[in-house]
Amino acid sequence: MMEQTEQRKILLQARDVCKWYPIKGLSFGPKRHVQAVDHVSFDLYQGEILGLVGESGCGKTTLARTVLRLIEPTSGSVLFDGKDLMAQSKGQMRALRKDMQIVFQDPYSSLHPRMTVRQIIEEPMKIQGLYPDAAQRKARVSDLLKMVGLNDSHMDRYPHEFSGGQRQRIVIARALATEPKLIICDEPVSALDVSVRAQILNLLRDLQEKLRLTYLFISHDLSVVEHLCDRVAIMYLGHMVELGSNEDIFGHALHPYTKALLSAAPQVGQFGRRDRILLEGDIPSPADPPSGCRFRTRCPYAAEGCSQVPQWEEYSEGHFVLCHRFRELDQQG
Amino acid sequence: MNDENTVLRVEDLRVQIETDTATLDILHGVSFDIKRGETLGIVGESGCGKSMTALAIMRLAQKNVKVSGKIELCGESLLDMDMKQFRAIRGNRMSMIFQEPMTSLNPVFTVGHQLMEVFRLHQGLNKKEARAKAIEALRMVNVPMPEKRVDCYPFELSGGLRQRVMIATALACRPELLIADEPTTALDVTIQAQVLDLMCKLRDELGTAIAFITHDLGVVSELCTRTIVLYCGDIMEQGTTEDLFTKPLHPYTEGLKASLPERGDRGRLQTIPGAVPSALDFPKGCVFAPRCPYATERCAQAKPPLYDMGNGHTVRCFRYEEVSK
Repeated sequence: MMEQTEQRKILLQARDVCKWYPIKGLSFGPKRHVQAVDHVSFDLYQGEILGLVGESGCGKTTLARTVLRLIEPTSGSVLFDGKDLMAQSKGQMRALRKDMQIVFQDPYSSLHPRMTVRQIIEEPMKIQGLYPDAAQRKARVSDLLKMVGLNDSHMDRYPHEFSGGQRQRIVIARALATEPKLIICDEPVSALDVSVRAQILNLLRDLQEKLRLTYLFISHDLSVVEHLCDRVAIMYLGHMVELGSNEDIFGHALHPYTKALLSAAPQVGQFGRRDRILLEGDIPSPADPPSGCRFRTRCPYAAEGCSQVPQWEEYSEGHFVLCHRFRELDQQG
Repeated sequence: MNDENTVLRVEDLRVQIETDTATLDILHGVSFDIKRGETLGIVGESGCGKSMTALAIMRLAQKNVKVSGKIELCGESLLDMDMKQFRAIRGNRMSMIFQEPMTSLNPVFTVGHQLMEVFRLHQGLNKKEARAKAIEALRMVNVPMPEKRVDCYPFELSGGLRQRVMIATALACRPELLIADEPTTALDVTIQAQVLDLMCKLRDELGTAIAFITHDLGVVSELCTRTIVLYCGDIMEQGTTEDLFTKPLHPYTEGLKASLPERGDRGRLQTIPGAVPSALDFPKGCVFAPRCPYATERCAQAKPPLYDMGNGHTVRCFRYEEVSK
């Protein structure tokens, strides 16, 4: 968990990041784009876990990959550890990648089936030129396996010999191999069973505390995010609609979409609950998003003014929201 | 026991899969019943046999799967019927919704065509009548503009709409029993809320009995009146959902509940050590014993019976008294 220091160091600073994909095949008329991520700004502090929440297609994975320049952004700037990522050459970028790693959702497709666990974990070290001596490298693999709760006997086995939870441990070990500062966890527990999910969540938290890691934790599961994350960002259709501390979002949500998400998530212990906030309709296509506030077509509080583009406003320190009416709605309770 | 309100009665259901090298015991004698208008939750982790239970009841399992035991729909034994008799019932008096709304609709036919098929097959309606019924069915599940959507192909619809079409198809003939196998797992939370709300409304309106298969304990908690917890092909615990979650008696139920993050609590999560064993080598004795914090010598030797605790609460554990403490 985050220690309260006066000056928190910003590890990653994203400003007005956009990723628009052109729609091919239209030769007439104005060029159209899928606005996967549209003008998103946020800071990621050293040693914190920032949760990125949203439904499928809202751009959370695209945003995470764009800020690491795994996908080239259309516009915007990203500072990572003080360096402007957009100004780095390919070779410089590769060297920087040592400090940023990803843990993917599906541990079945993110491990090469014909590589042994040892080869899998050694690969990033070889690419980055770490531990050139084979014996040293092997010792490092052994350490990493121990760190994630596996042991040396697993080293020469293949991924198919492991269960989903164990595979995810291997993926985590691989991500740790280069001693990164930042790890993007892209739905790391979504594919796992409940009992195994708790093991992996505990492991992620232990490693974060022990190695002072920074996580950008992407998930659609609010209970997991509430449990793990220090701060939370909510995305809807390519926009970031709310950003705040764990307490801000789960205790005092401001955006109507955040409230609906919190209300829609089923909870153990709420027997026969029927009072969810039900949103009308489906998520609009990002190729043709509503003008102004993108949530207005489903928002129970939408008014005329919502067809104007809302401002990213700071409600209290560190609690941002993108909504025209949040102040009046907040006063109404 | 033979209540008039009992829609589905399953007794000692056993399922075996024969492979080239071995015979796998998937279900070892599962018994439960569902009453009219009731929603029974069937929860468990992957590989516990929950989907197999559904497939066995619907007789959709593949040829190398052997099903034995008793399955009765309103007193009629389903396993004794020949396929012709059974087909008249399946999709008519009992139907099923699957997890993937993307793959369970036929991509080359319009949704109207697929809906009409049900009416033409089971109710002998002509094309025009069936089309009118199909539009009505789409309206029932709150599909906007049903007159237009009836001519859409599945790819033209979103995941939520496709699942609504599946529900419309399944409920077209007002079945007595609906089996829903993870119907909302592939959907987003806000869409899931819509679909669950719809299923509740239709259940109350039509009096359909629902078997709701899921791994999401939150959904079960909010939707189901009674719940079965399955693990490695055995019922571990059965009872009202409230009993199960407020005073679990089986170490597995207790462990599942404890491994969920609770609101406001950011401490370490409790875990169940180890992983779910594969069907190739289910443990002897109590199947949960190797992962159980309460296990004793006895648990590894003998399989515990289902103890009846009253109020329909049964538990398969020698040491349930320890758990309830």
